[in-house]
Amino acid sequence: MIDSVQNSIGMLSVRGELNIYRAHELMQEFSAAIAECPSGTAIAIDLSMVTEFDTAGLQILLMMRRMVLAGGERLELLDPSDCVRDVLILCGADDLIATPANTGLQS
Amino acid sequence: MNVDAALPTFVAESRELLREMETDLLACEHGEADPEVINAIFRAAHTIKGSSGLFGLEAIVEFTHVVEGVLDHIRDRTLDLNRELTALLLECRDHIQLLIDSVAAGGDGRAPLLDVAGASLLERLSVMSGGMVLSPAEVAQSEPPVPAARSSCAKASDAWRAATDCWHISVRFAADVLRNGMDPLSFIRYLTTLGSITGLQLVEEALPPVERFDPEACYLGYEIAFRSGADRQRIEAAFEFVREDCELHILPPGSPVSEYAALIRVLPEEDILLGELLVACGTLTRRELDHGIQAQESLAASQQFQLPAPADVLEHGWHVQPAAVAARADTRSEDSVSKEAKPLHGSLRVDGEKLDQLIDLIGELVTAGRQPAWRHGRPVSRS
Repeated sequence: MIDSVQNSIGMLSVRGELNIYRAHELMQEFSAAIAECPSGTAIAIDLSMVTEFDTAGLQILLMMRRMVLAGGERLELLDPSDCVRDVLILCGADDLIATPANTGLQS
Repeated sequence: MNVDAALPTFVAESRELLREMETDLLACEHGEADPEVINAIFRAAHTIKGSSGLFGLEAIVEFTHVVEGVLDHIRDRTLDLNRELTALLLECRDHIQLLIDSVAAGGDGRAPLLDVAGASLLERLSVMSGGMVLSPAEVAQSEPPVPAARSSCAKASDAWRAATDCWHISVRFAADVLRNGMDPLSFIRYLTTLGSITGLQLVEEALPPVERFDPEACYLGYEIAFRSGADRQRIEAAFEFVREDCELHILPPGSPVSEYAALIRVLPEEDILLGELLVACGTLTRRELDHGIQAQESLAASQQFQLPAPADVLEHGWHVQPAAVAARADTRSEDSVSKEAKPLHGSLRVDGEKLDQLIDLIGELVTAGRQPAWRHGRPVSRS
């Protein structure tokens, strides 16, 4: 569920595992959250508390990016924990990671 | 992949051809160098080379190409098939058998020992043919390649090798790997213990539309440039646990550009996209990619080159003089009659003949490129 909306950015967060074991649950939750957001809302996911991350988790983030992009908006990953960051960098998907330069958020 | 499904047929046919080749060579050794027998040996090598090319098995193409060249000279009687040469050709036949065995075992005919043995045989062929065929070392020196009238597309592009000093690893995982408790990322990470990943491109084209997305299925693939002193076996072993559940292609550093092009053809995604991925991960330069694509296009063009069957021509209302159609129909039926009357390989299945025709067409394309009149001049005659 959307935690909050700041500056037209819907905020989500994940705690614990973002992997195959929770893939169905998280995908449903994220899809619902995106659907719930008014159009013109970007999505930001706080990944600082993710403890496990695998291919299933990566695929979910890639699908989310597609869904958000399809609405003409952007997806930002906030402060990914090391396990997430390592994979994103390995796979060249680290452009999803929000930096002070590219985020609309004042963090 | 369809190509993978056809591989067992290729292996079976090649073995059959090799058996015949052996019988024929042994006959020659006993003094029966009948032109028809020599022709059959030549055709066997030619077919194996051509089919290998279609499967991207460059190691077999490269080796068999030289053997075929020698046989061609024997056929033309510019080279004498003496006992010594027959014995050497038998050794070459045995080597092709080993290459095919390696393919049957899941390899691609490249292994350090095979490479060394093959190079030594080719060296001897070159010497024994009095330099009529070139050894691989000489081929490498003779860049840029000058396509001789007979040389196939494969040969022309073989000579151009990618400049990269990295292996290229292409891997697509089966949908079930995640459910089977394996994470493709762990195999990629394991690779980094054998060397360094210098470029990696995620292939996410298989991700379906969101309504069909199954979060527990795996959709991702990877194109990886990998710098390592490890040999192919060790790199392959990194994927050991997922071997049955992935489509894995490994190209050694500096492979012929044509091999990358063949890889692009075999992989399921769009060729253009794959080309870009190979450039993006640093495996190919833009120039190498363009060169590879050109070779590919000429292959594709050769497929379009097939003459329409006379019946099609009539049905589709080409304005063709009846005489011309009749003449062409004659040529075609003559062709097929002679093929039926004396099949070149008694055991060859239809697939093989089709492949063979395709290979001939590629050869024709080279000639056709120089004679545009062949295409444009003849059939149409409007009044």
